[in-house]
Amino acid sequence: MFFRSREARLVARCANGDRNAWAQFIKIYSDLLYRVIASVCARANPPVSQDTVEDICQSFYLSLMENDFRKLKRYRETSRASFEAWLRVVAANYARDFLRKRGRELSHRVQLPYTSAKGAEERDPMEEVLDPGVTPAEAVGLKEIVDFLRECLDKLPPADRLLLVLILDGQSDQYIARVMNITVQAVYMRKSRLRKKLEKMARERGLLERLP
Amino acid sequence: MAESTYDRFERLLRQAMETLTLETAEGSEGCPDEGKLAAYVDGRLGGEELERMQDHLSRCRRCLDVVLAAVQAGTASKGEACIPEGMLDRLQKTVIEALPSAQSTTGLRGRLRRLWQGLSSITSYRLAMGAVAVAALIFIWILPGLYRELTWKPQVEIAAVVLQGGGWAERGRSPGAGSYRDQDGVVNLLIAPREETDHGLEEISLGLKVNKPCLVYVFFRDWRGVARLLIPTPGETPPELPPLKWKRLAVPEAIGRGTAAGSFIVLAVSRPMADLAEIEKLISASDDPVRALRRKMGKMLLGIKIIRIRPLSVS
Repeated sequence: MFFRSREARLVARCANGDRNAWAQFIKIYSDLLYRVIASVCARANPPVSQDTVEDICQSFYLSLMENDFRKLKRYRETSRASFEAWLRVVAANYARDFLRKRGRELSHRVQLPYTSAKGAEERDPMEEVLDPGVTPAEAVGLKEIVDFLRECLDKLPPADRLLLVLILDGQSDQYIARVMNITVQAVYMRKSRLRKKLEKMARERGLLERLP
Repeated sequence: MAESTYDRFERLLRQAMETLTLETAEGSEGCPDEGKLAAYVDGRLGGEELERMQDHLSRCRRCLDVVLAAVQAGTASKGEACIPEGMLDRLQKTVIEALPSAQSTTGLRGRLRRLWQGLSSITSYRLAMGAVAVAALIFIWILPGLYRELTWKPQVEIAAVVLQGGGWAERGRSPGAGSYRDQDGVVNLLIAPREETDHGLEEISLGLKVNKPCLVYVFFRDWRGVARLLIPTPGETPPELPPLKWKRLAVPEAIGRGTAAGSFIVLAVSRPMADLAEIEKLISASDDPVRALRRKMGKMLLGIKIIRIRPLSVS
């Protein structure tokens, strides 16, 4: 109880600039870091090469050493998260920033936030939906649904809202289960409940009847 | 197959979400820190904290991206080496060369450094908490007791004899026995056995003389180490002894059922004791009751006398 865990001792040694500790650290965590960074890079738009993934890995390690290992020392053993989870989050954050600085955005199906920031210029949804794949009749329906979404997303409880965002983001049920830390069966149940809830809200608004 | 109303609704819903881009959220001051995001990834948030995090993730693309990548990497199948060949070596070389102050852990200096690091790995605040707890324990519990034990001196001298005026409980006849103190200081009660049945010794009395007036309590600790209060009987005040006069105190009950071997423990005190059950427990639990009583009672205990007795059958 009075002593640190093995990984915290390793981190402490790394933060002291111990060469052997760093060799061990790289051996243990490189695989994991590679997976995190590769997962972020996989969604880069335009796509990035394998070399970029390696560059980011290397650069991430160097960033841990900057300013007398300041970033590494940010990990607190007393926090509820494990060191591995903390490292995954920090590496994903770093990879995302790295790509953005080089003009690469991550591709998404859903952009967030879905409500405009105060003072931000709001675009007319009608302009957004006027693409060749959408009929004018559908476009009218789409505008209504955009308004409907704005209204009901704010009304949904946080868990349902996150579920809806993940569904619309195109994530698989298995992946949603892992992100929300629930079972796949629970995802099915929640999806079914959410579907009924949205349908009810749409009916109350008379939206379903007016759909093109 | 014709598209149902709801399917159409869902398709349009998805389309609507895609067009709902007003701006892409970037990390703001309201974003949770990395520790909290990591706790979410680890599934360690609950209640309101979890709700707040879910609420934030459903509105912040940046944090959602980070969580998605962290979860995806964490759930990759174990043993799957996805890192390209040679990359690990390249990383080792580049990263270790870039270390700001290269420190070796080999040789005597290295070993000493490692030892120091091992010692310093004890979290300082936990060590401090431990030290404070130990210090508090010493000050509150150990030191006062130790001080009382070491500085205790008897204020009252007690002289005692054991008198046996009765016999076996069933007959009520005197066995005509006496007592003598052997070289070990044990009072041997000489008993002529009349019956095989043994209900313990009755009509035992203690003759006590003290050099200063005081109150006395008498306990009997039997051969198993179990102590009980004999004098005074429950609810009565302890007898007060006058100075330099023999006083006979009758033991109100039979002692030593099975065998009378044990010890009378006579305590001379300045004022009546409150928790006698606790003293009984203390005497029972301790291998050295004198020391334990000194430590517990301190100056309240004026004197103590132990009289060990042993029944001795004579034919």
